[in-house]
Amino acid sequence: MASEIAPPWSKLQESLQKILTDSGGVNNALSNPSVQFLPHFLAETSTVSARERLGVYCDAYFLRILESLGSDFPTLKEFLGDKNFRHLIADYLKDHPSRFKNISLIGERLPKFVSRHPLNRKFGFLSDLSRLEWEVLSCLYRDRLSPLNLESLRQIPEKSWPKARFIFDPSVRFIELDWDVDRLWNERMLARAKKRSLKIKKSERSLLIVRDHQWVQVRALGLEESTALKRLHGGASLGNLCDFLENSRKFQVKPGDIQVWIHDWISSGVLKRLVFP
Amino acid sequence: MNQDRIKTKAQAFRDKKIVCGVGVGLRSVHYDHVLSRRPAVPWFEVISENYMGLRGDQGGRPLEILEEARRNYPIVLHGVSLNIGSADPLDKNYLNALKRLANRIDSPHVTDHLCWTGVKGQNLHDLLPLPYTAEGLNLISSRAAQIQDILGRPFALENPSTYLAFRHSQMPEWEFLAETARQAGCGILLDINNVYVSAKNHGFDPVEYLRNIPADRVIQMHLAGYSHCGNLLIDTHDHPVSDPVWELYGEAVRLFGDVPTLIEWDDKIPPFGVLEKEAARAEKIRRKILGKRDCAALV
Ligand SMILES: [Fe+2]
Repeated sequence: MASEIAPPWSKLQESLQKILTDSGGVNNALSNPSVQFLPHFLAETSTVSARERLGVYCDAYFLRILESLGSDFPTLKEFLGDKNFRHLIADYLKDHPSRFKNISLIGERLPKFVSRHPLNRKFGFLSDLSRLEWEVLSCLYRDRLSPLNLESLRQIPEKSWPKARFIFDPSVRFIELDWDVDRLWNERMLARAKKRSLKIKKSERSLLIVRDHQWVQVRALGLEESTALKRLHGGASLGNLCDFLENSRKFQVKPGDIQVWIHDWISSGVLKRLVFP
Repeated sequence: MNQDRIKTKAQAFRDKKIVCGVGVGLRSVHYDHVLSRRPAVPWFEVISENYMGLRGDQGGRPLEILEEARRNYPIVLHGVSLNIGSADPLDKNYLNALKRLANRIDSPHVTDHLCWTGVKGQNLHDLLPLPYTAEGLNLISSRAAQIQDILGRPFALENPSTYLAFRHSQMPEWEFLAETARQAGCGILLDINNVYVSAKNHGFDPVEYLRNIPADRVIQMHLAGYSHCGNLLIDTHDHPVSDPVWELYGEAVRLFGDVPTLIEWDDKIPPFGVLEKEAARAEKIRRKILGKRDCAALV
């Protein structure tokens, strides 16, 4: 009981934090003279030394975050395998220690970090894959509007339709990727060996991400559908969209296609309200 | 003078602000089972931070599930990132978000741990030990009172499992915890497994620990499983409750009476039926010691 020589509360915690977050482990951390005072303030028993006791916390820090990121980026982890994933996360934590109350937020900067990591040089699509998994996770945390009833649309007079504007579900996100990693994501339940044999190709992908009743849907959109949906998302009325598609030489869209799309977007929870300004 | 929000059991029952019997921790693997089968569990506890959204106030699917579960069960919020013992100031944004969540599901009380989780804005996502000094007691009791005022409902601190202790501690953990609760006017969430794990790791008597905890402050108990790691016990929450912890729980029921108890299981989570069996075993111990009265009759 040596309270007169006790280090200040903040110094004690800062030093402990430095030791527990050292990726080289406790022994490496304790080679730093600025924290060498600390073990003198830790109680030991005949069976367990202060270093061993520090080691329990040191391991727990890394393993807890590794496990959390593994469940937030399951496809990335499965593809890389335990060893490479561990290596990636150890590097990531050196640059981006957690400053968040919710452990799921730790992965926010992982996609950007992965894009600069040597592993991405080996597998060029890792950055796209981690970006997709981060978008899926953040989509899950967005609120949803109640579904739009398809039956109620039958009441709308035909002449009103061109003025119609759609309100999208707040969970909707569009992302553009350079690799078709959505195939890997959609096959994420496959065994690892099978997943590894999936050939990921460089190909521009326009993905729609939206929450559904159970979880999150990820769907690759063709150029026409992607352009149409993004125009509506940007605030175009249905009439504006039809005029645009009709006058565009680039697209071969028939009015029937738009009807099918709208039905599909409503039933998959992308479109949630209709307004007639 | 801090406002004492720990009511007598009779008051709490009158206000319907209490959970009773043996509850279970609600974890995502059991969402479907709990929502569709509605198992006969008297109440659930959830990890607060999992329902506070990533950024801002959107809670997304986790919050929708929580609200659906709330329609059928009382739910208590249990946090892991309050960081009450940190050299950093209390995070008011976090506390306000916690308050909104507690109001939304009407959590009868809110709990977190007697620990620190990070300093200089970092979060190590672990329950780190504190030196039990007079300085620490002042800091934590004044913060606990402040937290309870912000939340506007009873707040309780849980004893963590610890693997290291400080030589400059001036009092044992039980004294620190009891004094903090008295000075702050807050409650104690007594984790029986943590008492046992820390007792083995530091060589103190777990029964002496329990005997020094004021019964009128204990508003909830936890039961969980530990693992062996060399000469230490680790609070892994991935095993059934061990026999010595069941024994210690019996002692706690004799000392503290009818206190709502929760089965915690956070890793290698088994089918829901296994948790129900653990809860039934705890209920059997309670009934054997307290008699065959239901909990409302115990007031
Ligand atoms: Fe606990």
